[in-house]
Amino acid sequence: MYARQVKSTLLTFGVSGKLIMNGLVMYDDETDTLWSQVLGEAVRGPLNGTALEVIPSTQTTWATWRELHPDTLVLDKNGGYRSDPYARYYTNKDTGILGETNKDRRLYIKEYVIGVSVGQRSKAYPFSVLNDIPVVNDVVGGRPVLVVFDPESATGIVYDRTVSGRTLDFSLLTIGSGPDFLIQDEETGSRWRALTGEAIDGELAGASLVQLPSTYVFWFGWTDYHPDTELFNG
Amino acid sequence: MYAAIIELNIKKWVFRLVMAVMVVFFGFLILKGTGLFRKTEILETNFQTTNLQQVKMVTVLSKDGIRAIKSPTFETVSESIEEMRDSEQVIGVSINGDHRAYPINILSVHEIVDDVVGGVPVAVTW
Repeated sequence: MYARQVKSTLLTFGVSGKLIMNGLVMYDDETDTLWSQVLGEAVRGPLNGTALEVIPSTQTTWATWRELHPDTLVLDKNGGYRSDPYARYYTNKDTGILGETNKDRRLYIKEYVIGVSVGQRSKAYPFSVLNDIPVVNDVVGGRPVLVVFDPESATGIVYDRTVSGRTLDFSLLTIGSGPDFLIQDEETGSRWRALTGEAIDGELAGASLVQLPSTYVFWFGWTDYHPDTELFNG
Repeated sequence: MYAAIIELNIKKWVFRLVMAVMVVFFGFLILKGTGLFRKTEILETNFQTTNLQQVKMVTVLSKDGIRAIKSPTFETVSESIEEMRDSEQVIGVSINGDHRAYPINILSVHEIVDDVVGGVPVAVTW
């Protein structure tokens, strides 16, 4: 998800019909610049060299999102969109329309990972490992990160685990879907909702962790765009 | 008699010409379907978010062959009861207390939604 305001220009994006390594290339109505949707960076045109501001978002199930945010809005289906046209693609062996560019066999091509990149550094957290280790304290590109994962809904969220200048270390309290997934920081013993990043009691009650952008993606897609990626092994 | 033979010969060659044109035409369509004729460009890149110096850009469809949603409309949870299934995938975002979900079923078809969430203009991309 990207901010559409770039300096003084508000951009409206459309689908150019071009691909870079299976990733969409967007155009904007205002300047006709072409943008990599995966990276959020311009590749050709008047705004070449510009990187869009990334806004964190979460891929999850409707039930989980609704439980976390009961006042949520949802994009209107207008009676249609009853299925996902890619349903079969998720489980077959096709690597996009164009195939792979950078083959990295540390994982199976269509293993799901949560990908995080900070500057030019990147790290992938496989769902298969997060299933067993749902709370991960790590450092990516020099930034202390917290990765939480709800195995039931396959919801992975990444936060910066620095609060008011202090780096916190988290451990699992109770695993659950939605608001019941609770973690605790070792420094103050405060309890936090893992899937919203809010502290609900303790010294830090009321504080919020800043969510970092992350990508829910197949391993082969992640390694095409981040050939030097680190891999979390547990 | 010769006139009849010549006429038959002409018809034979016209027939062969038509067949040849059809073979070339369908052959072209088949090859086009395999992607051999897609326009491909090499771009020199200097990305901030990854270390790739060069990428290949392939034209697969015409501009707006897939139509992004540029004027999205929304429902509340109760308004969407009939249309949303618990287990279906969504992309969720929260900005300034404004929470919105974008079903993957819709994003798979339209790829991009241009929206304003919590006062911030955003592009939801898939």
